[in-house]
Amino acid sequence: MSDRRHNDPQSPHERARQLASDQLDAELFPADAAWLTRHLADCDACRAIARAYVEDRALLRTLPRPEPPRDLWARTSVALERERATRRRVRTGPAGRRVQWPAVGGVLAVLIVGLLIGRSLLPAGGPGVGLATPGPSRGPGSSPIAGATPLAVPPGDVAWITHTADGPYTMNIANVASVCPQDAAPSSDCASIDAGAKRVLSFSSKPGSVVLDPQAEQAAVVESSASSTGGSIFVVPIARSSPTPTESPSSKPTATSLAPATPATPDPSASAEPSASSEPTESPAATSVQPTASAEPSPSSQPTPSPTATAWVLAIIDDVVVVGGDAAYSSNGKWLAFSARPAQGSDGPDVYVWHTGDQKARAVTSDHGSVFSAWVDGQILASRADQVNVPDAPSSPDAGAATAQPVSFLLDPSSGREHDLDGFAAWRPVVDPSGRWVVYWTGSLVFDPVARTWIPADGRLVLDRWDSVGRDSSATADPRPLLPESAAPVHDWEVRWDPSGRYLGAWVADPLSPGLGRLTLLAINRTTGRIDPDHKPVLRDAPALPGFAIGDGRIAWATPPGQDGEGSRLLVLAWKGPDAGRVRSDPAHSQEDIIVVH
Amino acid sequence: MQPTGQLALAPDRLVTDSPARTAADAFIEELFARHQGEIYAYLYRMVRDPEMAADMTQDAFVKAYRNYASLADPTHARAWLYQIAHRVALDEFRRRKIVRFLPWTGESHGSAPSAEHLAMEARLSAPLQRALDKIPERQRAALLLAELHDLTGLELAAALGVSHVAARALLTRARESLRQALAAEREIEAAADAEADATPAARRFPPVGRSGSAR
Repeated sequence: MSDRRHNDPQSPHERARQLASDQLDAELFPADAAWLTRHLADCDACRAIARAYVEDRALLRTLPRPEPPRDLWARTSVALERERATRRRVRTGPAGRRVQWPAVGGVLAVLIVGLLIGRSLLPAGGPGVGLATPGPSRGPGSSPIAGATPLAVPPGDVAWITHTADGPYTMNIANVASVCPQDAAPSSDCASIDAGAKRVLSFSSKPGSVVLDPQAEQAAVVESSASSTGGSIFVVPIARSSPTPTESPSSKPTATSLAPATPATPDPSASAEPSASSEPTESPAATSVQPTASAEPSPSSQPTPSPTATAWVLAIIDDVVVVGGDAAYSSNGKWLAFSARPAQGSDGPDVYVWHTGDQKARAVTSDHGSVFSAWVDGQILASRADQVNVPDAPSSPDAGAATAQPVSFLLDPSSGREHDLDGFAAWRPVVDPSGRWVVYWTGSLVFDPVARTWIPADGRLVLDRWDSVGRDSSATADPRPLLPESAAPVHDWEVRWDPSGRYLGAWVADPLSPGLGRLTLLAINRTTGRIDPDHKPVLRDAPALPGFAIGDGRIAWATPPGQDGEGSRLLVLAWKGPDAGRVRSDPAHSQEDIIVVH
Repeated sequence: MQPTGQLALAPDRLVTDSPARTAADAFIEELFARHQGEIYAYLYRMVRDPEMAADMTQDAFVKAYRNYASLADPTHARAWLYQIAHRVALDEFRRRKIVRFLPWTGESHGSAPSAEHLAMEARLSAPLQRALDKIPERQRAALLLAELHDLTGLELAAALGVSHVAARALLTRARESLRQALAAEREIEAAADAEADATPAARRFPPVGRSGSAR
């Protein structure tokens, strides 16, 4: 008998449909059966539906049963033996970190090339792989400058995602070794950066953002998501190999074009086994790069990339909305941190970390009110609300929203232990790579009850001494406005430093259209912290979409659709000493936004 | 009818250390022997790609091996295995939905489909399969597991990772979705048949059967 007395559908027709379905699987309660009989006698439509359920079931059972391939056990037993060998290594192997990535090859090899050569806009951090150095075929002359006398700049690559008409979202890579001088008219004298760009991979749906780790071993793809439906974050493992982008990426990659991913040294601190609860959600596609049975690898051998392998990704978290600062890798590339809230809105945000080799990201806060900001010295800078002020009658429609002051703190990614910064009243602080200066937002927060998230209300961005913050510092705080005072409040922003700590880009969202904003490039005196108002290159309040990238001697951003009646473009401003110039992409199709990979 | 037998492993073989490895090996081999066919069939019906289905089947059994200790009651091994396979399938759908890497040569990176595969696809291109393809993945999973793999209500709930009540509701929605999708497919096919009938005979393709004609 079925237990259908609870949650009975409200409509009689819906109830009839439910019971007509239920009776195919189990005997109905007598009362339900009698009710259904009576209803069907009077309702032609429901009777037809009930009959269709029976007929469809019969039809379904005519479907042929596919037979598994004859070598399925051979393949599975190889995989099982590999699993056993992995366990043995974890239990008895040398100290170090267990890495569960299989080798990658085939289609993903194209991705690897693209991501490797596209890394030069990232701040330098870990061991360099010389990615900003052009390959033999990518000399300064390769940039698409026509007409104007080009300005040579230190070569480097930019990566961006655009959408082709009726096609996928594609990642483009272009080497920028020369640009049009700042005062040249780009439209008349400069060819598009697209002329030298290579399309290296595609996404079947629009990603929200793509973030690369400093060692170019992994990329995190944040799914574009509506606030109500949420999305996932995926990690793509990337082979550690010297980039050899001397061939056209359009040529079919071979298994030998890139070295397979080299497992990193095992780490005893890593969990030996993923938890049973999380394990079944692991991406299954990892198996698609397992060697076939005909390869007969020994259990201890590395998986051999197969030209027919399917690229795979690991979903480290699902059904969330990312809030706060962008996801970011630690400087050693081992950790990815971000903050997110459940898509269904049951809780506010927490800070999550994911370590290479883990199956899933894990929360390191549990207050449902913390947001990730940035990494500093291997620790996470995060923010939460403090000194919360709840209105007297919060349930009243006329009551104001709860307000609070921000406070920032440090989090150890391994233990989740918090380190107080002596009440550092900052929201989403970002410290420069040299550790001397910090940019943060100061003001009051307001609670958004729909998103269950604290959001900035009235406040401003300031630049301050990082060594004055907490930790028994004797230095004196000296916050000064980062941007010229404006009547419009700052609600959303992005701040990124260049690797030297000399430049920083600051993007501030338009208060009326938060998906649009303005980007300013600032030059900072690293000793005094003074902002040089006259320093070239000048980039002030340039219309920009969120998600810019900044690197050595260049900054790249996407213009909003509709500028000069055109679609979104990628713009790159590069400089060498006092000289600067620009290069840009063709406008994107229709109203699609260009996404800058950073 | 799918096998509904239960593994003969005694519970006391499911724990302990060194012997556990042997028990796990024996367990997974027996599990594979009993259920590989139905798990492959389920995954094939979900993803409609024989090579992918084989990879996913392999993955499901490796995960089962890895999580052997989490199976408290071996009499529930079949539903437990379906649960793992179902999550493998959902992960695959999620992966396909979000990120797909395409070669720019336009070449296929997979091997050419076998004649067997093509024949299977021809069968499955009937309105029923097209209708199945159109219903949401979780509903399709519920329908396949209940109708073709004969999971009981509780087994279905366990495999889908939801409550019994939620599984029932999902199954009803699936049946309703299939009914509507089938009706739409039949309308399309009828319209195509009518159009073919109106076409001069000399321009018609030879009839190849109802499901494959005029599309």
